Amino acid sequence: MIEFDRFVLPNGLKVIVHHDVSTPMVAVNLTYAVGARDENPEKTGFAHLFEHLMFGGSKNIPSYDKPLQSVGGENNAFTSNDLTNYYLTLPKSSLEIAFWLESDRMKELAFSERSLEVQRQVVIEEFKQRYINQPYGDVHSLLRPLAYLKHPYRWPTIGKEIKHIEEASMQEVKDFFYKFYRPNNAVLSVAGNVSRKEIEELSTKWFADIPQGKELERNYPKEEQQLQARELVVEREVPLHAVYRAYHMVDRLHPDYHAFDLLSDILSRGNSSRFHQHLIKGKRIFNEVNAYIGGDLDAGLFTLSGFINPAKSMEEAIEALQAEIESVQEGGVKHEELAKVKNKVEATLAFAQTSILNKAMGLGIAEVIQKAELVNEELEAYRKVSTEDLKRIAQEYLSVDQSSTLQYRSKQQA
Amino acid sequence: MIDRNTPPQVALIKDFTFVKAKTFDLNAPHKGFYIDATDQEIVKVELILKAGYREQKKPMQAAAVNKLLLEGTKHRSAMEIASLFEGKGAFLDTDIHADYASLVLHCLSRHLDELFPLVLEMLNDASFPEEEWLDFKQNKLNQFSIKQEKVSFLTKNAFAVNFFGKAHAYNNSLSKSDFDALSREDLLEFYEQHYVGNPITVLLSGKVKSRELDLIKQHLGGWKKPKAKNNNEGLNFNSTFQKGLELNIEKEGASQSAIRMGLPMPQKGSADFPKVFLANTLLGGFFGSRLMSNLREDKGYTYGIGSGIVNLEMAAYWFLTTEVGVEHTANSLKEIKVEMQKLNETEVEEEELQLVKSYLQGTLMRNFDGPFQAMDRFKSIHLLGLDYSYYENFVQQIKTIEAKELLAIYRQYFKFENTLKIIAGKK
Repeated sequence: MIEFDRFVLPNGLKVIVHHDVSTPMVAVNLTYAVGARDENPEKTGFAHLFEHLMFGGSKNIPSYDKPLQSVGGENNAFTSNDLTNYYLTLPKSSLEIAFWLESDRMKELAFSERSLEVQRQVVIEEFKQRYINQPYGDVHSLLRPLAYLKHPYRWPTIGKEIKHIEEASMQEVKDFFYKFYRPNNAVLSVAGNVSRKEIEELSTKWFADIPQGKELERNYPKEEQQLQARELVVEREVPLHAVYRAYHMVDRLHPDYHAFDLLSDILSRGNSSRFHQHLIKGKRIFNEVNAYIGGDLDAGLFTLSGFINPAKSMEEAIEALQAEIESVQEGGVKHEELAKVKNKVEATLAFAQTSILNKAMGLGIAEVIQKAELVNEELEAYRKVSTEDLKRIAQEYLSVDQSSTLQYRSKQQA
Repeated sequence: MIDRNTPPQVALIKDFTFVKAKTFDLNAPHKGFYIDATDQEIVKVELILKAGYREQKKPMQAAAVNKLLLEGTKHRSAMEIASLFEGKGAFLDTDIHADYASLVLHCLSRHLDELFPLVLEMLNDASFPEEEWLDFKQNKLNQFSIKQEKVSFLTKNAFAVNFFGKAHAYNNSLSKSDFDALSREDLLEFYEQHYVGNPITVLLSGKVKSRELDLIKQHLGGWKKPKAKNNNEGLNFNSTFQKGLELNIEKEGASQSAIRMGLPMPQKGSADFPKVFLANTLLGGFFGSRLMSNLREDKGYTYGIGSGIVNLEMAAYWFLTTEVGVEHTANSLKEIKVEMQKLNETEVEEEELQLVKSYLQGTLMRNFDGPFQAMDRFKSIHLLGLDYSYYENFVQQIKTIEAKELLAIYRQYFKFENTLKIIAGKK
């Protein structure tokens, strides 16, 4: 159980406080409810590029990093399809530095042309390092637009193409900032040996004068029900064939969300999982094979993926994955399989609670998703899932007609 | 109106107390250490043996043995083992290092009695089933072929053989032919020699009370009589490092080049080490380093560049790694040279030195935070034969070092022209 306090400043900034006396450090997390799904389809990758610009100096503070490092702090950030998250840890004695830095960059960025120029280049190199100059690096850039025709999840966080990043202008940076980086679109969470009173005082002092932004309307284009299987075949200079099959699943707050998570664990988590036993051992089709969910807020994907052993064919691999899904649809799962993955969830959550950064981040993100209380309801939500639920979701959602398959063929194997 | 231009006055880090590992008694020559520092009902057990890759006679031998500990014992199949641990929601992992090998168990405290004896079974009765070994080999080979497509791996894999030399015990570079040269018999031989009956160091962290300590004692008490400890006899630690060697690996179609560099360094226990560590931090060891500031934040050549120091029992070295756009390869090397030369020529300004000093103290505090991190800090000194006075001395030296001394350190240890350079991609 993670106990916490919550209050809201008049400008709409929500603040969560978790008291943990076991550490001399404090974790400060700031989640902004903006991600790649909020981008213009012709200007993708912007939310992530913007995250880089948040480190390029603010109105009154030329460097974000230096003052933090000089009191022994450390920070980083990430961008997802749904949100952008900034986090730092520092010694308790220096806590106010975090409020000073975070409030100044929420109030007004420096909007430096030079920073935009350089970070554009840095992000282009990141694009190459992670998605181009890597074997199988372009998989998600191919699979997303196959599975999504309308919803903004059809492009990856890094962006559809390098060109979009090259074209980002300063005016767009400013518009984005004043639209999304407002206190009423953010959650501040603090974990450590801190009191609610202390955090209320600091929050009021540093954040209260930041003007509220306009209420945002979020009408993401809805994906229509998929009625027919989709397939894309590509050839690349990679050593092994690989296959990716994605099904549409539920959104983050749907009651079946946890069932999908547990089903993916039953299929592929650990060496006692079905995929390991049947497909890596057994039929010896895959070198590596996984089932996973993305954790997206809107209806996401339930994805199967695997690297195929040189002696086996793409067709055999797809057939074997399909047989595994059918086996759940027809025969369900055993009670001990379900008990096993629930135990893993329990242990994972217990270990995660030893870190103040995990706790601050979990609370902040949960508050953005819906409410911070979710972090304490998670385990119960997993516990409630039944074997019948797993069979039912497999039947309802994992049909071939609703799937998108990427055949990633190796030129070297062909 | 609040003043946003000047930082709020805060107290800088004063001395802080290290969370220290305590010893608990085990039958000699086993050794036990623990840290009890959480309210969660969880425990981590790490069992460490001197079965690192430096002991191996053939490439991949030590890593294969370590990994296959989980794939079958005289009493249980791989599937049974996986089911027993996973059924309890526990995580059992292997870890291979140059100097040692580990088995690591993470579990809820209530499952420790049942799972700990099973972990010991793997250290005593592993069976290395033929089928598991062949699968392991095939999978590793497939993974190797995928990794060969990554420029970062090409530089990493070429590093050890070029830094230490082919015959050196710390050379862990792999080539495709190594996969055929290794047999199941090689695994059995290594296992018999370096695992069965060998001394174990037990590190216990999480919620650790007398119940947990007694349980470990009880099971390790029944352990067969350990053999004489093996030492470094017969191992080759003669480095063939050549100053200034440069190796280029052409990778067709690469859009980025990977650069990896290396230099020998004084060891962790040496008098110069804290200063060398600070010197590296300032050069490439954190986000605000000279290299990051120049190659990323000023030139935009790369998503990231970093350097660090690896401490082994019989050697220590500095490495630098980055991936840069192929069109920036030559300029990146030039800028790395510029940064290293500057530090060899000019004293660091006081403001920058202070920043790095505070940052390092904060980092140390962060790295001691929580039972698992605190145990990792203990492990990193204990396995090198050091004790907590290392950290006390480290903090003291970091606080007091002056720019002049730092300049001398750069001149002695950080010369660009001496570095080993490996570049994969396009130069």
